[in-house]
Amino acid sequence: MLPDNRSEATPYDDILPRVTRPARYLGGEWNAVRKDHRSVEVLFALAFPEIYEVGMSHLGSMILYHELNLRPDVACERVFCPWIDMEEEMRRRGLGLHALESGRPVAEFDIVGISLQYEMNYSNVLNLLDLAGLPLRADRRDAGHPLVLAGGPCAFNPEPLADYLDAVVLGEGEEVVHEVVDAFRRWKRAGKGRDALLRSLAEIPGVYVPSLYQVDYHPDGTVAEVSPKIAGVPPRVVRRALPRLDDRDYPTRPIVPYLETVHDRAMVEIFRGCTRGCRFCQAGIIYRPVRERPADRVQELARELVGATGHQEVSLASLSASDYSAIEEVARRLVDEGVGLGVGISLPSLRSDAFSVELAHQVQRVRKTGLTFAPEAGTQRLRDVINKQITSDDLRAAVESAFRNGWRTLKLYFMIGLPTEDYPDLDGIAELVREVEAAYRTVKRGGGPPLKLSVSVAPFVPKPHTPFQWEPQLLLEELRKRQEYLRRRIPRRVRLSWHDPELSFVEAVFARGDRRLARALEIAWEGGAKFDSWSEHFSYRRWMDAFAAAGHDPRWYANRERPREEVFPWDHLETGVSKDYLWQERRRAWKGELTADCRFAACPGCGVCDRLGLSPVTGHAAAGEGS
Amino acid sequence: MAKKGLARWISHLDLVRALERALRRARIPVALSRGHNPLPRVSFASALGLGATSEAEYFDVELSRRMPVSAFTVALASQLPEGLELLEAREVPATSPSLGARVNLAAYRVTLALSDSGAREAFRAAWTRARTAEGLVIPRHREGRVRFLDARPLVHSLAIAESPDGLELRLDLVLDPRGTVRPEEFVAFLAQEAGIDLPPDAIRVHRTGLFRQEGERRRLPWELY
Ligand code: SF4
Repeated sequence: MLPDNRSEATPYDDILPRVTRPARYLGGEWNAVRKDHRSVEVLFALAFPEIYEVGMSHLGSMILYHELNLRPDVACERVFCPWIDMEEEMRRRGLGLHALESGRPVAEFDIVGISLQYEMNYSNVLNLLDLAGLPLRADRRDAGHPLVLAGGPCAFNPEPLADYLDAVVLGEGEEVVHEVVDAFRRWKRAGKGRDALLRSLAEIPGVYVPSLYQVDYHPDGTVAEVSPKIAGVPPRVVRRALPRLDDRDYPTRPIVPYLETVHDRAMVEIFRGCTRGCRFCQAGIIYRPVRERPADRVQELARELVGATGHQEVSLASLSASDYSAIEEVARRLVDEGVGLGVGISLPSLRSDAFSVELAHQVQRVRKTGLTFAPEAGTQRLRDVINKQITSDDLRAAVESAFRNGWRTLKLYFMIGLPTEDYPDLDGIAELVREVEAAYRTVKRGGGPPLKLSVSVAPFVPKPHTPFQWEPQLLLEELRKRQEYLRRRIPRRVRLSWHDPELSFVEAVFARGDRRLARALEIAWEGGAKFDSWSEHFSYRRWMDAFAAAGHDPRWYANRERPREEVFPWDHLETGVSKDYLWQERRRAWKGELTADCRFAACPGCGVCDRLGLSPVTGHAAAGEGS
Repeated sequence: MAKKGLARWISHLDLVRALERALRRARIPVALSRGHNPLPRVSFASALGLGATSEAEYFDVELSRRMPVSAFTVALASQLPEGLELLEAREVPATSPSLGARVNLAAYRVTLALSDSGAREAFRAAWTRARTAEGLVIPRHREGRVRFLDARPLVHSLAIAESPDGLELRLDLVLDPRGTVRPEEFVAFLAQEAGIDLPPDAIRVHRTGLFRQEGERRRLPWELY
């Protein structure tokens, strides 16, 4: 039932005067969908294990919210983690987690769908289930509890969460979420037990039910085999992906938050997937192949979005905006249309080359925010190892073009601890920083306002389903040593920011973790772990204690080089890219051999097109050849 | 514009942004500021504190093209999110001074949940003391330092009445460009002086009007031409 007084009160009315940013907990924003619960059959809570401002910036969640609410038989509502102060007040009063739209307790929903974007949100996943009043472990939940689903990039190795999740969706959710809801409805009508539901879900392509798989280990602790416990459950689960983006409706009426969110703008997804082939990058594997949205559609959607949201900025979202085949034309058309309305265009994720800078210059006619480049590594040798196809010349041209076009705020992203990295590669980062500074002096002839250069460095974290999934992460002591080495070589006038190596270490443990880590996760959560992606809330000590208490050696997970033939805990979960291809890529990495992008050259045979029955959809000449 | 219900938890900055977005959705031709970062020319008379409701949120919108007031009202009203309600719009000359400069008085209705009659008496007594001999010096803590604000010239009038579950105050506060006192701040100060414990959720602030007071004469912001 829908409380009639929803617009006047929330379940948290007494608390709101006591917490920071109460607008996080209100709901009722423009375009939020509120349905009468008496008229629907399935209540779906879309849960994002982060705070509101982070979760509301996530395009994928908005897409699913739209997909689900299009159905007359479903009410889909949002759930986020309350911030620390709010949680304290809620727990003090014994108040559980409620969905934003109706204010109804999450525990009364039929399905709770959790978005897994980042390993360091896992403690928040447990906290969210607990705040909702649900038993953490899937085997303690029964037909009276919501079905707990998960999806998102971390779904490709959900093993550390296997004990807590009922089912996991691999890949793009637009279609499969409907199949899950349909199966749920049939089950609900049939009135059978929880087991029947899980079995029927396991039959849906792309749905993984962890409890229906048995994991056997070798005496050395590595996985021997992951196999279905019962007949009818597929031994391998293959990811779902849309053949074409325009096969599905786009959320042109997304919710407009009151609060300033991380990405406070309208978003048009211009393409999905990226085949540049950076060897450390998981996104470059799990969203293949590239599927572009036609240019005319992009323009139409941008127009509709501005009309329905009133946002003053439209962002063209993708993994690498400069790679969209019609990017110049689309950007120009949108900029022309937006001028006069005060609507600007933003292009996140640009390549580090002069072409991209010119493009950014075109779109930032009015506002000139900073530019960001991600060379990732300091030397050509190492950039070849990771297949980051950016040369020093590209970078120099990009930087010079930026300075000539009036930019003076620049951010550079690097990783340390990449496979084969050695101290000369760190010198290379320092050298590159000096070159950027010199280029600024040359362009400005020594005059002009000072350059604002910031450099951000993150330790490399090997991720599953990438060519570097066999690689060890550098030992923490060595990471710290390299960090210090680099720190001493970067001039003080440059703003240097570091991603916590301790945090990256724990991230590396869970990224390639197995089911046995569930215990450590639970112990850490019991010890107060939450918001671990916020370095001020992350406690290295707490995690180490938890690993010790659970009897795990975290270094075994993070710092061990895995042999070619090792069975990984995620091998039965397929992105469509073959393990052989990944191994071949790893070998090419060690030889410094580049692998071309299938959009611009022949298909190097990653296998995804065959496996998923798809082909790249782009306007580029070489595309569409398939594998 | 009225701010009701849950919208009272929308901060002033967020409210301004929400209004700008509503204006854009309504396709109202709002004039943009010049410069590198053109912003819509929208300005509010006075920021309302977080948690307060209001039936008197006045704002100026400068248009790049003249449009009938009725068309403006219809277009904007349908685009305002829940809890924000456009009550009335009037045309004022584009040359008029800013709203902030035109108004100098804000009227509030503040309800206090005070079930204990002793506490109610203590609150009244605190006000009687404050308005007379002892003055009304409110300490303000910021960045570890304390400053003192003499609020007496800023409190235009206060009438205290009994209500079913506490007190109802009619509080008129002076809006002075050099400084103002916030209603919840003033009430919390009196409560402290009275020695009563008033948790944040026991105070409800509602703004009833914004005026220009000159002598005995009180005019609405748009009656000033
Ligand atoms: S199979 Fe070939 S064409 Fe398809 S995504 Fe992989 S590399 Fe590109």
